[in-house]
Amino acid sequence: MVVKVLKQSSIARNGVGAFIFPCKKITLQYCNWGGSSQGVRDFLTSKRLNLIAQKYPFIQFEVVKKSGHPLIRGHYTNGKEKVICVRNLNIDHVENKLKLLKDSSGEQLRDRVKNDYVETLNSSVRGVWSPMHVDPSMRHRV
Amino acid sequence: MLTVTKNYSMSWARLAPRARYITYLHSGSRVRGIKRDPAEYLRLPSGLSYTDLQPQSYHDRVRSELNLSSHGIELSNEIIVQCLTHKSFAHGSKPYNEKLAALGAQFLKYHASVHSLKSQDADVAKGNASVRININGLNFTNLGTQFSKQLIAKQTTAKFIKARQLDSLVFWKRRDPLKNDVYNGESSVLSSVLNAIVGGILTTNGPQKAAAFIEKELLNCEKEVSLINIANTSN
Amino acid sequence: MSQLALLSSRVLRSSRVAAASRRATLTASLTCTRGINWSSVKSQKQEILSTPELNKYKEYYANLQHVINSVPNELAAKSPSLVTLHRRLQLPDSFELSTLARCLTCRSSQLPVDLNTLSVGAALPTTTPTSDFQDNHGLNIFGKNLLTYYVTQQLLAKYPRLPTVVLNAAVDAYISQNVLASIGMSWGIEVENSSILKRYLKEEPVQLTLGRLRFFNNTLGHEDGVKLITSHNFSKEAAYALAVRSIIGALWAYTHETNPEFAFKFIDDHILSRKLDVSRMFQFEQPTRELAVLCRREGLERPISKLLAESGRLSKAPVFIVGVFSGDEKLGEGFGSSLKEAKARAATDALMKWYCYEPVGGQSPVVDHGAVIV
Repeated sequence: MVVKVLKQSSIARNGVGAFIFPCKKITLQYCNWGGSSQGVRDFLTSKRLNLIAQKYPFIQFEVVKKSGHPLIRGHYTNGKEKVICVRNLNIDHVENKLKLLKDSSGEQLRDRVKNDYVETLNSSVRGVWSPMHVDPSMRHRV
Repeated sequence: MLTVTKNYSMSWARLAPRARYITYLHSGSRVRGIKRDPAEYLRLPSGLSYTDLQPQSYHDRVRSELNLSSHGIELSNEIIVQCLTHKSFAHGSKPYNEKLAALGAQFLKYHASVHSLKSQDADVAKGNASVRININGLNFTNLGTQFSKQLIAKQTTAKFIKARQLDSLVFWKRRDPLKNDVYNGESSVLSSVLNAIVGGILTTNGPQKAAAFIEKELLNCEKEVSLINIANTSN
Repeated sequence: MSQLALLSSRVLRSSRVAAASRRATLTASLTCTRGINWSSVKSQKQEILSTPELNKYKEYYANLQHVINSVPNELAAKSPSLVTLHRRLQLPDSFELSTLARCLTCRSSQLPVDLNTLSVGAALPTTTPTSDFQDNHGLNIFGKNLLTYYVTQQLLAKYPRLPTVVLNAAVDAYISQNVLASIGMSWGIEVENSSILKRYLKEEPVQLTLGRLRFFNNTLGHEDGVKLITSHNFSKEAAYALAVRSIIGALWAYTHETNPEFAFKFIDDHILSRKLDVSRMFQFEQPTRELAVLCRREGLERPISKLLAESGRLSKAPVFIVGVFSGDEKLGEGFGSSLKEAKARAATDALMKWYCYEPVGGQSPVVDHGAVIV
């Protein structure tokens, strides 16, 4: 008999080797008539979207004309999407919301409680202290 | 046969570090529970003994059959013996070639597929050339054809070892000596030998020399015994 | 069988659209006008009609098939998802977009005749049949060979003494189908989910489909949960894995002359950078025995287990620390709530240290003698 094997899968670590930008697509939805879309319409007619698209050539930008309030929708490589309604926002705020979506990882946001700041796949470098490995003369005796 | 062995490792042996044991090593018919004489089981049915291999008749013969020196490849005697020892020999108690063969098989497969990609000629007859679109001069439709599979198939590599007359030097144990070679899995054992030699060259001499060895020795149709010629004749 | 019956009744009820013939001809005809919801399209069985609308659809279909069979680079450059995928993976400029589109065409988009009939439910295909010379079949085979060789070689260089079973499982942990599929998803490759007919009715430009993964992907399954069950492997995972392997194979083809290390660096960055703890893959049955055989084979003294520390032997929660020694050398150490357990753990620890040995840089290559056979 020889050693047997337990099947495992490797775990992705984006950024350890290659870094794939998490945001893959951003959809801007606006209405050509409604007043709440004024900021998005300004944004689309300005040069700002062009500049952003040139700076981030790996993000696909899609512009959709649809009645209703304007939306910005981010699609992420983990399969999730995030939507922000940008009604009645001016051009600068629209751009900020778009950058917010662009910089997001696509993970659901959650509150970090105390002692939950570190998330790692690796075990502790220092190891765990053991009372059995101290000098025998110093050991606690019951 | 009686041998005297010294053993220091028993815990009470500290008190008498030169304690002597007498071990009986049995030879002849097998008896359950009795230790066998290594000189008996480290030997092939043909009489070739694992323990006293002559460098002229064994290691140098392997080197000359595979033309290792002409490719500038240096393999130590130990690695040559390990490449020619199958896991079945002596119950795996001697260094065996399983992992070298696994690595060598992958390397050989990779280089055989590169060879198929670069061959534009008629040895891969599939489809007319006009429909193909090459990628950077490489023809990816050649892969997965019968010929490219045959090139590194078990039968082909086993025939190569036989044609280079290395099969008599391989240390392995037959499952049942009275049955035929297919039952005993001879072709798997012999193909693992070729793969292990490739793996051994790759580990000790680096990928450049291993690739040159494959290209000039194994996949060279000008050589009389090469994988291409063997695969062509078996089709 | 019930699956099929359910499926065909659904097909009968909603629409009888047959757009699935092999050579761009429609077996049953459809009369429809633009603007009508496509599900209300009616068909007349066993009657070949030719209407302007049908002809337009035929033209669209033929054009689509032609484009997929020989992707022009100018058209591929207009496909946003293809261009962004190229940039996202930081592929070199010599890597043509048409080849990237070819990597996304799976051979399973070409269906065998028996599956390509209306009664089976393949009525609303998302992709056209492609030529054998224009799919990713060969690229996939080459990518697989390249990946398996390189991952095996790197793992063996890092852990020269891994037993063969563990080595194979570790290679699988990096490049098995589901791992590659998750890599493909993290690259942002999207699946072509809408049927050709729907795309035609939306007047979608043909180049949009070039950037999506095309494989046999029946639209019916997405809409109402009815699935077509066949003996063929048409899973989404398989298609993703095919695409990832093909991209790596094509990358090698474009860079092996100018920069032979590029493809290997790509594999290092995207695949070998993943986290895998090989020490968690071992399962020993009789570690003490295996350690004894290992010591005999390697010419070490017989392993002896010694109690190093203990606490609460007579309590309900005792702890023992046992070390296993060969002569004066300590091979391993283990803990346990019984002497037997601690001894087994110590032997496992010693074996693990042997098998998971990592040579330091600059050392001459280690050729392992093989795993211990008890």
